Amino acid sequence: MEFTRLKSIVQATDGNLGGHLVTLEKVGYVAIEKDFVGKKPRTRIAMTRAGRRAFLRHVAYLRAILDGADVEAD
Amino acid sequence: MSLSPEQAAAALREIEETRQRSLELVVYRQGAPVLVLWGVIWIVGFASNAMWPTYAAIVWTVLTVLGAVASWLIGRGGNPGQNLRYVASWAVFLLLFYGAGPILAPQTTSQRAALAALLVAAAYALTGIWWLQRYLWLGLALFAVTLFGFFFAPWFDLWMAVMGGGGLILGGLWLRAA
Repeated sequence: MEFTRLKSIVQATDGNLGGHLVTLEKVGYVAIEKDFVGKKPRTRIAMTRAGRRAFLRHVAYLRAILDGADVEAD
Repeated sequence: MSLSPEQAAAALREIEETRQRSLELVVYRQGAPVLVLWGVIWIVGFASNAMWPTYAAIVWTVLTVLGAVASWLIGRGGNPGQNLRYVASWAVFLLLFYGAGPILAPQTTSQRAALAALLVAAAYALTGIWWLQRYLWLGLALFAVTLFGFFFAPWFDLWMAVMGGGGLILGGLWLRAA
């Protein structure tokens, strides 16, 4: 997914989203690919398998909190 | 650091809202080429109404079948449930058109065309009210174009070809930019 599209989905600023993506890339949760379409730079982001697993774990953790289960943060 | 139930609920809400936004944008992307396709069909169909009125029924039947099949082919990347809903939506539209036709008894080609266009506009507007907001504006624009054209434009078919068909194409490009 292109950076501009992701930005409109998560409604974040360029700097904010860029900062989060760098962090997520460092831990291997997203893969970032930069290229050019003609003369225009393009940044594409994809969630990795590890990223998807981590996200699902986080959602399960949030749900467990709501269910009142005894949970520990990642 | 652990989260309170309120913080967890807020985070889940935010995830769900983002998921909805993402889904909407995906559907807009899928809908864009379909709208452009129907824009072209309207231009050809209404132009043929104006130029060869005798063959209007045949031309529209062929165009509608081609359009329905092409739209299905464009959208078939979606899940099977979505495809089934697409076919069901067409069935409802055709039932309404052929059911309302004899009851309202449109006398002229223009009346039949306006009725079909208004039904399409209603379908878009309802889609927009319940789910995808941009379709509401498309539906309202189509209502305005059709009613204005029917009551005030001297050449209704050409008006619908340019303003209706062109409007659908522009609408498709607008969805693509979402």
